[in-house]
Amino acid sequence: MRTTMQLILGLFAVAALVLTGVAFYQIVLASTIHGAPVRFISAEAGPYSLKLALYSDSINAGEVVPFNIAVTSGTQGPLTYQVAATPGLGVPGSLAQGNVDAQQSTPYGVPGSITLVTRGSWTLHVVISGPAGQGEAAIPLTAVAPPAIPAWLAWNIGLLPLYGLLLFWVVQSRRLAKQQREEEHTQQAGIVELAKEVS
Amino acid sequence: MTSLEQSLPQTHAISGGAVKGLKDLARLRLVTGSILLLVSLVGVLGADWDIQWHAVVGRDQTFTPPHDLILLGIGLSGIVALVSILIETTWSGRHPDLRAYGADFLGLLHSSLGLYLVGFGAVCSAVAFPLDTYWHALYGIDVSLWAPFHTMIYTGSVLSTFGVISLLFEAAHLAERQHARRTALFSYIGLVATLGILLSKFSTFLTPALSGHTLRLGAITLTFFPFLLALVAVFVCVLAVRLVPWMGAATLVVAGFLLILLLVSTFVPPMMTLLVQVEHETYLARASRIGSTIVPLSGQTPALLLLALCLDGVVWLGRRGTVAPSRQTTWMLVAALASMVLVAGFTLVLAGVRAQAAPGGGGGRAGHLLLGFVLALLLTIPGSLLGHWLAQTMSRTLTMNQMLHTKRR
Repeated sequence: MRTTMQLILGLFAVAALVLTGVAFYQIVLASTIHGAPVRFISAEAGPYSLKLALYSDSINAGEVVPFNIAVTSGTQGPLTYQVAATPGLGVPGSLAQGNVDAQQSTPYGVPGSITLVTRGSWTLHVVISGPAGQGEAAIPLTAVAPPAIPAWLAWNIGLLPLYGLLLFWVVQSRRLAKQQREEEHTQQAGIVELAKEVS
Repeated sequence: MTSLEQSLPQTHAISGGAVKGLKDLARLRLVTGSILLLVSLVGVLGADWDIQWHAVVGRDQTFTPPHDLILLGIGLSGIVALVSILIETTWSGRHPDLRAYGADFLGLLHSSLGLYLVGFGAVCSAVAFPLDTYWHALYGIDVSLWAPFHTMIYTGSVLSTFGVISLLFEAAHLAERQHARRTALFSYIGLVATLGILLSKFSTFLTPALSGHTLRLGAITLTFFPFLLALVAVFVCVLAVRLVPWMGAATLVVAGFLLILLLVSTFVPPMMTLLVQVEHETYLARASRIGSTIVPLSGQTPALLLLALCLDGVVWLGRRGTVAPSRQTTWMLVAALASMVLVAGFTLVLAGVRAQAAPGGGGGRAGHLLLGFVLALLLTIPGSLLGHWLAQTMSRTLTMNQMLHTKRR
């Protein structure tokens, strides 16, 4: 019984760690390992025409979304970029700041990333500053999330550590009580034997 | 009063060669416990910073610095526990006498029970992190602290803290038996500090009860906070007086808790301001102030101090022989109830005065408070019994492991 429980716990720990590793990989690393962009969105940011390249058709809420920004007009001189996203009406999110690495350049423009934490409609604000002045483009995006699990299931998963603690406590208490009974029994048997020897 | 620790029988005769091994084992557990204590503190700071970040900035990405700090705490506690388990397994392979002071896991690992708990807690918290990202993706940034996967992160971390408490208790017990006074002293200091962290974790988790979470019983609406605080505070203070053989153990734990609050209130506001500037963030429109979310809990200090002093008073009377050891559990319960009566009565009077001063009076509110007061008193009983029961289980586990090993040999 004890070994079986330990085996279950050991397997749970290994499986949980593997799943967590996969999830973290999905949230952080998977987005940075990608091929060519699959979706392009054109927009105007004041005097600049830009093309936003995305590496996935759907944007998963909570995951890092990589993108590239390419200014298509023949602009001379250095450009600086600021990217942020605001949640749409009724979306329970806050302003999300993006990162753009203007020092790097790829065939699809300068690379950057942003996280849209909640599912729903968002507006990506791209502000470009350069010799021709400053311009802002507002690009609508939609973030999606996996289907929701029922609340009762979520709470039962969430309370697993508590269940674990209670189980451990119950098993430990029962084991201790059993050992104590055995110990008392052994002592009593010893006393009876001693009494017999003395008489 | 003699603590459970002192009342443990000397069940196992140690051969001369194993004494050094036992002293080393006690030191290893003390060092591991101390590192885990610091790691827990990192987690507490990260958690409070994160709660405040959510309140005034929002949640803009998964890997924010407060989240990184929490993850660092979870990851380090898992790694430190694993390394210590492996060291203890190697040692017990070399010195079979050490096997009496730990528990087997699948016949492969042999270590302190506390370290397994730390590991299990760390795994649970780590699993909860991506699940929490999923929950936020579904329901947004305004998810309460009392959400399924926040609860999982917290209960995992509380489980780890129980593991550290068990580990340091074992270290103190081992060191006392080997007359390694300094190791025992530091183990008990660590134990008191860890109990302070446990109280801090419980209190942080209660913060939603301060703002809006209520219990509806027909026409009466009650705030959860007073009776949940009664439950956790009595639990931690009883655990303290049962595990630490010092006079004033419960008061020391409350003092440790207040020091943690001080540390958090010193650390969080400047870090918030700095991070907002560095990350070019903007404050949410609803954010009115930058501060620590858990610091308002310091308002409960008189309640906690009174409770701790009452319990320490029972211990003191027990040591003087006024209270028989067999009746101390009952007297502790009485002391906890008496302190809660005083505190809740004082709160009731204050609330009554405020209700009278408020426009339209507040006759109905006084009735609600009275019911809250009664519930707080009722929850004092399970808090006290749980604290006593946990301490007893930990002590008996130590004794029984040693007895069993002696028999097998």
